[in-house]
Amino acid sequence: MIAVVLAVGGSLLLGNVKLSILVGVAVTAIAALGLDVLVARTGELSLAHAAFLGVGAFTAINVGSRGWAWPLVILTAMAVTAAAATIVGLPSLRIRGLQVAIATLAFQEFAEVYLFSRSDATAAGRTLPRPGFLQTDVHLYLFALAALAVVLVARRRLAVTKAGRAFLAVRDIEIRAGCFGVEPGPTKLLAYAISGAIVGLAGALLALKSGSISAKDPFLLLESLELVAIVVVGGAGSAAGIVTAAVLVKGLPQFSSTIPFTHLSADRIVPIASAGLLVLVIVAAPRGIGGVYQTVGRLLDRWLSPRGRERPDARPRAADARAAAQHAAALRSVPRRLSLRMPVPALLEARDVSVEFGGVAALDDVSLEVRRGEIVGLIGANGAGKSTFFNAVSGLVRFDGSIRYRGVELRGLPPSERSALGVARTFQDLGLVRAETVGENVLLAQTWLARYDAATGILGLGSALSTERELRRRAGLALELFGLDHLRDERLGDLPYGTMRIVEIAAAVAAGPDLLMLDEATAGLGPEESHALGDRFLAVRDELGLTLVVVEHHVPLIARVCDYAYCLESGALIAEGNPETVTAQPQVVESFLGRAHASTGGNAR
Amino acid sequence: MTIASAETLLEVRGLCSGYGSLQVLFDVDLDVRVGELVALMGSNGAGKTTTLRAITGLLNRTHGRVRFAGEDITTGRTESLVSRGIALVPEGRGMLRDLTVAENLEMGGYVVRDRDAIAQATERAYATFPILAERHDIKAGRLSGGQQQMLAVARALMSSPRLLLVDEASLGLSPIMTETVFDLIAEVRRSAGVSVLIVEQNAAALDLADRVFVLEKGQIVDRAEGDAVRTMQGRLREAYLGRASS
Repeated sequence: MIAVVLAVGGSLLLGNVKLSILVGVAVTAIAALGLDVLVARTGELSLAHAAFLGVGAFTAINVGSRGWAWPLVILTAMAVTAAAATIVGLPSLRIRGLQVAIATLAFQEFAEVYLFSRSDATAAGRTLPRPGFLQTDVHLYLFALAALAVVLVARRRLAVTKAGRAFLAVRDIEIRAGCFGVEPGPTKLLAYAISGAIVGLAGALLALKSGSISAKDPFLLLESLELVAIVVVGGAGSAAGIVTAAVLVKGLPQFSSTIPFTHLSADRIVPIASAGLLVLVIVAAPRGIGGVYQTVGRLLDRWLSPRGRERPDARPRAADARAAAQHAAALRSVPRRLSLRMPVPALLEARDVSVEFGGVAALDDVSLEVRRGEIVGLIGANGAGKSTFFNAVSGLVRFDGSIRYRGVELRGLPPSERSALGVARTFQDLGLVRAETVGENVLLAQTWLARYDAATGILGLGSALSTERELRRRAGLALELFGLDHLRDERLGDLPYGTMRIVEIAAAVAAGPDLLMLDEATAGLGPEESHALGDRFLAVRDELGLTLVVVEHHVPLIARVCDYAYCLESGALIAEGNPETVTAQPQVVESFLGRAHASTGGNAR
Repeated sequence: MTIASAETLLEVRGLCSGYGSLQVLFDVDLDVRVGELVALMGSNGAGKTTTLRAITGLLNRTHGRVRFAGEDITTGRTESLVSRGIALVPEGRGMLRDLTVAENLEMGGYVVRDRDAIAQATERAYATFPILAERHDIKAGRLSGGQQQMLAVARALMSSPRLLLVDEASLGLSPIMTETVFDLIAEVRRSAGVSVLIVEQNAAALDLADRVFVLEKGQIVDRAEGDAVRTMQGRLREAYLGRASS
């Protein structure tokens, strides 16, 4: 912090020429921060960000030379660039990763060859007059710093709002994010738009600095690659690292035409030296300068408090039943469309549901019913079609037949709409973002409850702030209900498997569903923890009025909490009834329980 | 049960490890003798997976020694363990989901240079796990949970290891499939003569084991051997199984 103030203060003492270089550095830093929104948050790579910078700059000159007021010039540049980036992002709806990068390359090429050679697009011969308060370079520099600060704050805001979380979800769990109400397509395009808007700001700044731009050098592919290099060297996701990298890559080489204390020309040495530096940084610090900052910060922390952090017990805490009931009750009252609040006897009704994978029937004419307020067990061998049934209900596979939820036909609805209807689920191999904290994941699961848009979120306007507060309150309650509140700030991926699974259940409960489908709820848990989890199931059913469908291999739990059970084998229902009857049927014993249960009556674990 | 010879294959002494500044394991001692099947039992979060990761060097060991077949492998690299004869069946199966069953098996034999040996190992795997032979050209991601677990075991066996480390093989398996997989592990131990260290919280693993270690909060809190293993269930219940399994 002190270093930043000193650096900025010191830089003000530099001469005008050097200040103009620093404005250029700020432009590059902002553009790189814009690119980083895409790279770090959605995992997509763009090779067209220099072209976007050009779109922003030329747009600013185009409208600015017509006498538009400067705030309007900047906003227009941001909007046009955001639109261009959104269009370039369209292919990402179908393809991912490197393929998307190649698609962006096509835009870069198009801009260089066609767009930037048109005199109307580049506003050739016209100039953007600087507004009165930016006449001196010091003022322009301060303005650039203010713009950089705005971008840094906006990134911070993005990280704590719905959109930022949705980006990470689309990156790591893609279509499964739909079950939280995240729509993968629009979310990706939004990321392109935000990234484009930030680069557009950088472009407008560049236009204000230069007035008119005749050469297209700053907008060529090489510059796009340099922006990527800055993000990599700075460390994707680390604003401090990226700004540092921008200073190193863009600023330092221009400050001196010769290497200090030698007669070597900087022009010749710098490219070689920076290429070497790039390789060195990537090898020595794979997470970039930002990673180095983090390590230094951690070392400082340890030095200041040498005892080290106590590991919180990575297991859920046992909560007493009364407190659990209170937490569950406090989670009630989720807004739902009026038509969905009407009581219905059968919450979920599946009729002749079939799913085929490449000619193999994963589900074969399955009909079942889940009544409101029941806990229904779904058992069967591995591969019997239990998860496929969940996928059909939550919209992750196509099915034939009919699944009605509260009388609404689910067939054809996207996953995000089903979550808004009140269907939540967990996955047997975890549908959460492991790289994020427990708390963030529980917020992510409530995406459908956050009705504010991205701009409101970034600007921190009223509804966004109050909604986020409410989501955090709900997240806190859900974590307490499952005895996880002490783990809120732990990275999910660092926790034991069984604990991760309970976090996922807590997240699903926080989302305020009416129907909760749990896939292998107790995998990774010991019997005692399974038992405790069974208590929570009863609590959420009794206090929250939830209906549960539970895929479960732990027979004692099914016997204890389930009102009704279905057994699937090879995609077909082979038994249904109360759990005791079902687990006693010879066919169920043969395909699911095995000999140990046959002799002990289903209590081997 | 086969009689285990007294020669120690894997010896872990005073192992301490953790994530970042968080210490998870505290002075863990355990050993596996040649031909033995040892179970490391513990509840969720006791440090079972961490122990396996520390042994195989996937996680930094802050303290302690690991010896394998008389050699100190404390500072050994994870990659070199396979050629030394240690194979890991990771938790969650660790399948290459987009590769076929046959390709996954091939990956398991990655360190084996001899093509004939690979062919033999593949044949052996298909003989032990006929369902894998039947589905050899199916992508691993399409297999059911139990079949994936079999593939994970079969893949680990491809390098003809002397020691098989199995992390929660029963995870997410139906009771009958857990039984099948446990039977297969016991069968593999008998027929291929490998020593096995299984990490489990499923008490059914006690039926297989020659010796048992119980891990609780990163420390070994109990151990048993021979007939005492059979009576372990009661003690385990007190240690962590709790009232739930009654």
